Amino acid sequence: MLARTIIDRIEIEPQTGNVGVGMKKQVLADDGVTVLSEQFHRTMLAPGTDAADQMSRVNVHLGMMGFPAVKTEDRAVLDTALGAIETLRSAKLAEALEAEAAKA
Amino acid sequence: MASNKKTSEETDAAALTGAEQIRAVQSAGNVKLTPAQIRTYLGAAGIPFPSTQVPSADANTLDDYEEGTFTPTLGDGTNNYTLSFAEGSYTKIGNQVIWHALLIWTSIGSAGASQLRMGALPFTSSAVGNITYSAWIGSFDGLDTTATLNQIMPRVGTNSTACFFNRANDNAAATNLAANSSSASGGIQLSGVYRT
Repeated sequence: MLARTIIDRIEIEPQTGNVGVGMKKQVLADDGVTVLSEQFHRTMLAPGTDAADQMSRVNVHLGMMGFPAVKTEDRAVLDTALGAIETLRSAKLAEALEAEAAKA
Repeated sequence: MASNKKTSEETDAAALTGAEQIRAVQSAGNVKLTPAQIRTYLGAAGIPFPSTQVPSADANTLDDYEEGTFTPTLGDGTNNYTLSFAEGSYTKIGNQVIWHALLIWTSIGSAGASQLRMGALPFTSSAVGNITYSAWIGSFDGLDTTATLNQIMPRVGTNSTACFFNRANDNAAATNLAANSSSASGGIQLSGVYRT
């Protein structure tokens, strides 16, 4: 049997700026495809959180539970998404600052 | 000696077929499931929910159930303690998240005087008026209760993924528990419930 941890969902919450990361801890059959069982693992990344540090903590926790680190390809997707969200955040912030400056 | 004789109600229920029992429940108006749905659920090991919630605006509809684990942090919101053990589990039922966590630290690192908080709860809490959400501590070592052993009070804020720690004072407002006031090592076990 094989085990893996995949990122199942990346949830963006515009009201709070939080990003939810839903993962699945899966046990696979020897064919590497058939999922025999799966359990959820979650983490929330609030604005300003060091995502790399938090995901390292998640990987340590996964190891304690007998599961491997989050799949590399999924982690790359998460990093790309977080980068895009940060760019949007910065743009929105700049927009808000400009609007404030225009009022003054 | 207990009697093996069935009551008339038990005998009546046993005499009904599955379909008749479903119709009996429906006629009593207790559920809104169709017979096909009930047959599906009775044939499965429990009631399945989709892995991604399909939210319902109906206050009488149970629209989510999920069990899982999460990885909590501890610190001042920016600088985290060094944790040798950080484990959390949760069950989400509808909009309620029931969670349990155990954290053991070996250093408070460069945590500052900002309020101590446990971060990275599994879901963001909601804002309902001015309500914050209670949590409770099962045991702890290394938190600053002061010499008068003031109570430590955790609570989850609104629109938040963190559980904040306060210290009670006698006939006075509670104090934020400073993240740099903890001992160099310690541990805490706590649980809570909040609404999403």
